Amino acid sequence: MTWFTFLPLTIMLTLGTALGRAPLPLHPAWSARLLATTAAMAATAALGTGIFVGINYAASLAPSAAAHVPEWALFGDDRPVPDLVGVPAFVLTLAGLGAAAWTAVRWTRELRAARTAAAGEPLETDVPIAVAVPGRDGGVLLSRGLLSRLTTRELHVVFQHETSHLRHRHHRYLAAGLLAAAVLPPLGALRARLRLAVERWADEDAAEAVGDRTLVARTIAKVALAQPLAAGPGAAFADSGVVQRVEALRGTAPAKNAVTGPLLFMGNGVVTGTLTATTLQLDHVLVSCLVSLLAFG
Amino acid sequence: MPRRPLGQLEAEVLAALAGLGGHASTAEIVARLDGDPAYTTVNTILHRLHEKRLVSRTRSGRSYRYRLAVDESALVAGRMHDQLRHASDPGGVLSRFARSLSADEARALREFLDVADRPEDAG
Repeated sequence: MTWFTFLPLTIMLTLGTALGRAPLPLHPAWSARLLATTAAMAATAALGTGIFVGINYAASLAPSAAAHVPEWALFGDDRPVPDLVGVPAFVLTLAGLGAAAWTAVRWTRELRAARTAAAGEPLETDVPIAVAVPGRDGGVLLSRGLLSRLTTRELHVVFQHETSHLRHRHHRYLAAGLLAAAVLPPLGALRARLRLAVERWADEDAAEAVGDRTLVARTIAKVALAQPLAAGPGAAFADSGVVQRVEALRGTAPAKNAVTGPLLFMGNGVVTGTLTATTLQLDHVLVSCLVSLLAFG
Repeated sequence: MPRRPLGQLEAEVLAALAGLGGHASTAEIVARLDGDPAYTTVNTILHRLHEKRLVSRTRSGRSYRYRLAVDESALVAGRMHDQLRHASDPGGVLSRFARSLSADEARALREFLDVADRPEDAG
């Protein structure tokens, strides 16, 4: 084992933190795609590195059992993994897997609850709520407060916004962000950035559909102001992103980035994909497959 | 039969009904809706809303008058409360149209709405 084992993950973590720092100068649709890929890859790279180091630590502890492990899963050199690295890697990987599993459970539970709600009447509350519930039996979940407070044109904006979430399957982007932040807590900022990009994306879709940016901005402001004020410690200072969304809608529509968007997205995909593949030892798998093919061919 | 989620037109009809003071005839609702939907379409939707018990109706001559069947200040209770809690979970997995604001954000948005409203007041 060498310190290079941790290099791909370190690069991914740096990239993820940097992307969480500043907004990307791209159309929100491309920002969201790029951020979601980075988030998903970072989570996979972290778990891959952890599991790999864990297997090799176990192999250093029990060399006789290591004979049964396929060769590609072991480090090329026969240097044992020191306890100082092995034990934290083991514990952190378990914690990461636990966090990922817990996220998956919460995700499923929340979706199911929302689906039950979406199948019935509007929510019985004066708070204006609109939620896009993905899935075949999903839809747009509205509250009574929203129906009674908004005009039909404003309601149209809400529907266009939520339909955009459903059409582009934004819940998968959010899931990637949730997973990344659960496995790698420093990526919390990346997740917040991704969440905002997804909302901005739906805002832009709604603005295009209704052809009135100010109407969309006003509807968002109106609904947000009718929410109960943020409660709980620190919540009063938390950034909901609503002001940024309204500000963005007051300006002109962002460029579609028909060339830079796909280019940056693919570039980022290749880099993060390669790094993640390395942590999963996929390069070694490939080599061992080729070698066996050549040997038997 | 599983009930379908509230469609866009259904929601718009409910909003129109609420805007008309909670009770209206089909023709009044049709007149208030955007995009000139057909009378029969709106009638079908009102029928569906009636089946969902979201509106009640009383016969008046040859047609019905519809009334919002739910008290808007109805208490959030039981099952609904639970779902609401899920739907409004700030760390949640679903995207909400708008989230709770901090005091500073609320101030900024009020200023924006004031400015945005001005041209309409003048016109």
